[in-house]
Amino acid sequence: MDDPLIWVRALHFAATMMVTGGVLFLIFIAEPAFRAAGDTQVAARVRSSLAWTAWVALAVTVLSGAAWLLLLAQRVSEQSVAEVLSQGTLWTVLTQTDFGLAWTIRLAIAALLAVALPLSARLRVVAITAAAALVGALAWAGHAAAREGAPGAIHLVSDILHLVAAAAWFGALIPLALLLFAVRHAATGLPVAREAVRRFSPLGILSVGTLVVSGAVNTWMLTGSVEALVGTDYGRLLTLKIGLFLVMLSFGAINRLWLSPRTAGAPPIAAGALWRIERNSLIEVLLGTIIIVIVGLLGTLPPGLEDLSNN
Amino acid sequence: MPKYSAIRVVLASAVLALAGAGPAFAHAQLKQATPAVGGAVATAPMEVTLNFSEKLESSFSTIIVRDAMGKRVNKADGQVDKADRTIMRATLDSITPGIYIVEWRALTADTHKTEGAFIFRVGE
Repeated sequence: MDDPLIWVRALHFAATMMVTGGVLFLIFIAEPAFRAAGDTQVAARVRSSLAWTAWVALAVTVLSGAAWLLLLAQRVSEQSVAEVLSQGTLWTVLTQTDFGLAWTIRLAIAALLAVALPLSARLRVVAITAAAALVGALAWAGHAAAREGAPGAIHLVSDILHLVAAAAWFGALIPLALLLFAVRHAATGLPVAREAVRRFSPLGILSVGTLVVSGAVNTWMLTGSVEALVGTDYGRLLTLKIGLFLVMLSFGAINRLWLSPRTAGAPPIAAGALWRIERNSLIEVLLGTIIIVIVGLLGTLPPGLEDLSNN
Repeated sequence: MPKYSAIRVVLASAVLALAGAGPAFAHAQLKQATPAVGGAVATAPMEVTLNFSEKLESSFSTIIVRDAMGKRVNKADGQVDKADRTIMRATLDSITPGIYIVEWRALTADTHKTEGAFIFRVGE
């Protein structure tokens, strides 16, 4: 855990997911909820705080991405930071490796997203596409990118879906909690909160379904056996990650099955349920953050499949 | 074979064996090599070909072939195959019967570094 690359990767993954989840939440959940509730005052306030969060996350994404590139160039060349910069190693990594190509494309996507982030109606499709591409293209920094042939292609597609779904769910939880917090004391807050919670649930179900299927495919691709899942460091960490995901999922299920229907009830009952959804969402964010740190660590380990075949 | 070069080979083998006994951290595994790992060939080969389990990055992957004295015997053209990036090869100088050490370093497309070495024998 003392490898800075683990933390830089985790920060980059988390920030990217915040960007993507934030954009999707604003477009598919917050804006329709504001329209349905017909409140312009609370809408303006929440919109600006959500947009601000997305901007900060985008800035952290770019900065942590730069740190990742620098650390990696240093790692592969066994040079100091100064040498990496002065001797053109950074340029070589950027122009002559798959990682560098994916990095450059993702920087261009981030720039495109920065242009589209004011989210005017005309640029909405651009923003959604760029947001999904920014996180999906992270698949080219993973194990799937190094595999050849059909298994490599299946793994890559599965990875992309996994990343986008994770961002749509995890990345939208903080905006959801933010919105619920912001509208809690507004006079017309209740209809906005009800509508946001109602609209969150199909997004959550679709994302979780995609995560389960693509996660199962990836687990099989990377470990290949129960033996590798319990007998290697990689497999054990992956098992821990799946366990945390299941806990996260139970909080989501409580929100969806038990609390969400109550938000339609009388104001005191609804307000209580909304407060609990807000709290549970923050617990899910905490669990999701631990999962992302594990992802940062997993990327530095050999997949279980390889580790076993090596012994 | 002179005695002290035999000692060198034994020492090199011991170092390689110890290095291999560490935690398995190899990302790109060497699947197959020509000449084979630890193998013997009757006539001197023109090149060394290495087959890996994953795609490699050409700019950060290298092969060095040395004779028992530690002198480099491969040309500077060692590189990853452009069509099939799981293959790395190096052309050899004309070499005489004896024991040779192949040292390889590889960076995979998913940015993991790995390295290894093996010995092959030419002639008796």
